[in-house]
Amino acid sequence: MKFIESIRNGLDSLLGNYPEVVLYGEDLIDPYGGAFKVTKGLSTKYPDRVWNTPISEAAIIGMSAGMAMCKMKPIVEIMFGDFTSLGVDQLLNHLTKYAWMYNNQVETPVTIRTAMGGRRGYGPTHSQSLEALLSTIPGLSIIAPSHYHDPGRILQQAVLEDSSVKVFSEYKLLYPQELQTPNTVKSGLTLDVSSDVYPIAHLSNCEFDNPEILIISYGGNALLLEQVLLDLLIEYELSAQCALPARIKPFDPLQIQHLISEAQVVLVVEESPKCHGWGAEVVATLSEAGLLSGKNVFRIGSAETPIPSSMAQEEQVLPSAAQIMETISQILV
Amino acid sequence: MNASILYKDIYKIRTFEEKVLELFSLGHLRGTTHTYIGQEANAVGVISNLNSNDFVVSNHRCHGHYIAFKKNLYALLCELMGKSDGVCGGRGGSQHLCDGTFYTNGIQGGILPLAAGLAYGAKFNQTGQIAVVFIGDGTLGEGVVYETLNIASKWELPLLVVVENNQYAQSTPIQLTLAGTISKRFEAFGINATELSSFDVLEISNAAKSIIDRVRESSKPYGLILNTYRFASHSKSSDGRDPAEVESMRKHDCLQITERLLQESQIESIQGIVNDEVEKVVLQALEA
Ligand SMILES: Cc1ncc(C[n+]2csc(CCOP(=O)(O)OP(=O)(O)O)c2C)c(N)n1
Ligand SMILES: [Mg+2]
Repeated sequence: MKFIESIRNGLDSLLGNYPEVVLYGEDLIDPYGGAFKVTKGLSTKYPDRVWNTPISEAAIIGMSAGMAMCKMKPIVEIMFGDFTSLGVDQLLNHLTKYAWMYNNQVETPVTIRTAMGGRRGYGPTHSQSLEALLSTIPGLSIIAPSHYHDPGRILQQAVLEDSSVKVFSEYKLLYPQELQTPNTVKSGLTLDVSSDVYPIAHLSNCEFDNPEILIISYGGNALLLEQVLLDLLIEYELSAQCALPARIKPFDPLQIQHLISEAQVVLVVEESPKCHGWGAEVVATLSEAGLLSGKNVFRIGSAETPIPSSMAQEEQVLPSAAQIMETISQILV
Repeated sequence: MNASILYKDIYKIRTFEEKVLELFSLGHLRGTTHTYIGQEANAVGVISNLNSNDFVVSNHRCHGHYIAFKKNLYALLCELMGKSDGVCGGRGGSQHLCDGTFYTNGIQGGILPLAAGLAYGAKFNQTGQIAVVFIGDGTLGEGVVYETLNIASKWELPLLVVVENNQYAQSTPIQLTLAGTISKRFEAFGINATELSSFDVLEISNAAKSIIDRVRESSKPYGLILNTYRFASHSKSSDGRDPAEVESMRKHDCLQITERLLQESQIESIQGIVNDEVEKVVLQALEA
């Protein structure tokens, strides 16, 4: 099954089983079915609970809180992750404040689904990965599965069981990818997915559990990293493992702890800008937990410039497999 | 609507707010506080027509709306004083109240989507509730107001938007910032609106009653523009308005206007009851 189908099935099952679930956003009804076609078919099947909105990100994000306070379970689709910025006041000063500042008299179990990431030539304002920016909002959870997870199931659990305000980030290039299981991963790689509500996927180029290199990342970066793991094995015979938590905020160091002890190199890879990024938070959290002493620690992320539309130029700005290989080879080879 | 009942709430808000200013000067409150002195007839006139399970969403200047709707002076004062008996356990303070179906927030305009979402929920669940949101004239500068008016109209939400136009936003007179008219803003979105320049709570209440009935029956939004005036300064800072202007508006004091409808003995009895209640609440809150 493809990543996009898994999410669509997850939405279908939520709408089919829970009358309090609604799904709305810009351009998501049939026949169009959403800018990335994730919701195709759903408005035909659930015409009363799947609807189009005006281009009003602040209002549609903000309204979800009122609906949630009326015991509905709203799922808001924001067409491109970049546009969540127009709803940041609602996320920061409203949604994530209500439950706490009203002394837990209300709950706001809201899910904001959005398509993030570059490498599709959309240019500066339609290619960003804003997870790091959004992650600075206290109380906001950020979920960003990869194709090594079961994104539809994670989405269902998030909507039904997680009462926090959540951004569910869907990496654009993952949509057409086949979901990977331990039986289907590329030869040379092994996969292990934890049984947590928000599972961590471990992708490894070796059989044993304590590789020399640990790469911590999330979401669509897995597309780069599967290649990096194979290259490390083939070119340098280095054992490496990639840890991909499905929920990146709050970040739980315990999910990583057992992988880190033998690693000489710890690398955090993200497509958000490296400066003040998610990697900085991960590294600081692991360091405070006493897990990084004596290790070589690096962050890899986007450059401090807008994301160019041209493919050749975009390569220079976003993290690349070559850049990751070079960072590792400078230390270990 | 009975004038003595409305008068009691107006007098209660006035007395409470004056007490708040006094307690603030004595150092019992911190941060800031925006009193409702002068505008009481708006909250009382509108809210007296609501059902207790309707949604009321308000702004930084929310004490009057709270008292008119929920009436719990002790829980409000404790909240303002940061005490755990406050409506939000002291977490919210003056601008961030929640009690049952009453919600406020201190970001101008940002509460409109919340109110529209609540109205959506009421319609979705077919509960018969409506949502009422109070905003000030200055808040009409915020874009999210118009996003929400557009959606509320298009989706036929049972939402009453009350604009309390007290002619000022903090220090800035409306003439400096507002282009066009307030009622045309509603008109542009196909939302019916009524504009009222009145300090008479009965007149406001009567107008509000038919509007609220209409919102409930038609499940359509409506605008109510109340031209009003505040007598106290914006918050705890200095008042830049011409004192002569403020003085000249005192003849429009809704408290006195309502008193003219009552007999001396009624007024005395109501004032006695409310004064006792406020005194008691202040002592209780100071000790809490
Ligand atoms: C988004 C935002 N900008 C600015 C402020 C600061 N502020 C608080 S009240 C106020 C004036 C509001 O004027 P109006 O809407 O007319 O309400 P009034 O105070 O007159 O009741 C301002 C500028 C704020 N709270 N929120
Ligand atoms: Mg004003």
